[in-house]
Amino acid sequence: VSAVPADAHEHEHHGPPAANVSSRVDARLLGIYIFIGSEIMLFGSFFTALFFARVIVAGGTWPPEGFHLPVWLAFVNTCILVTSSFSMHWALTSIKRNYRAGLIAGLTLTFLLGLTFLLIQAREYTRLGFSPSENAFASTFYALTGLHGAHVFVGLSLLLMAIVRSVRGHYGPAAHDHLGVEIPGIYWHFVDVMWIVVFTVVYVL
Amino acid sequence: VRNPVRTEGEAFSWVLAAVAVFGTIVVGALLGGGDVALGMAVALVVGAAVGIYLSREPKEREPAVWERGDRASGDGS
Repeated sequence: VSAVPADAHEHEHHGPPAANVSSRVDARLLGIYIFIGSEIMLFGSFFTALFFARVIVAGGTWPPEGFHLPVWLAFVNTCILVTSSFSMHWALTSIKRNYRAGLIAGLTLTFLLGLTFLLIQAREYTRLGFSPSENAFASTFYALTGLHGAHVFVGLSLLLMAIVRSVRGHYGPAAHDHLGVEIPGIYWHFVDVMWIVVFTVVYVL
Repeated sequence: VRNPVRTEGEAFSWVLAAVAVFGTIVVGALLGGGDVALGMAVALVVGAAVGIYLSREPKEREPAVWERGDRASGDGS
């Protein structure tokens, strides 16, 4: 027999009952895992199109005669994006130590590096000298790099929200108090890893 | 197989691993050409996948939902 009065719980709890949790993984983390899983399949389909165009359609020379990619510019862009992963990791390490200035600085630096990456890529598009409709090489190049650029844009949006919330003091050192940084961080690292693959396959190999 | 991306820190380690693996492939491409790089890419990716599969096996099997008792109480923690 409980010592608590029967109506005590009714006064403590408001709203609908708590949702059943059938997984040890936090629902928000599980959501980003499923999302990233779907993203890997999406990128996989684009890579498949690239390999098909390269091996089956083009056959021999890749890129075709007259088409050149700015490899060194893309390499610089790769370094920028990899650096942004370090600043993202620094931001999360800072909030775990309750160092809010480090969190804000890390997130802001990550945002600025990501924005620089995107602007350089946009500038690269204007200087390439070919359009997506010219041939299979051009189509797959713009499709893969454009798809990745769209993901960088989404990551920047998430980072911007995290910056605003961190300035308002929404995050704390406890694990459940900085999921709003952890989840964009996981997504940002995924975008970074994906670019490393895109750079290697599209620009180098 | 254990989830290899449980935290941001683990995701960051994937970035470092990708830099190491694909950096090696890029160096291979510059030194030996596309065929050498392609061979290295296949070998490294397959090797890394097998290594992850073998090394990340958890020591204890995670209990099923119906075996957890009060841990599946719905508090989300």
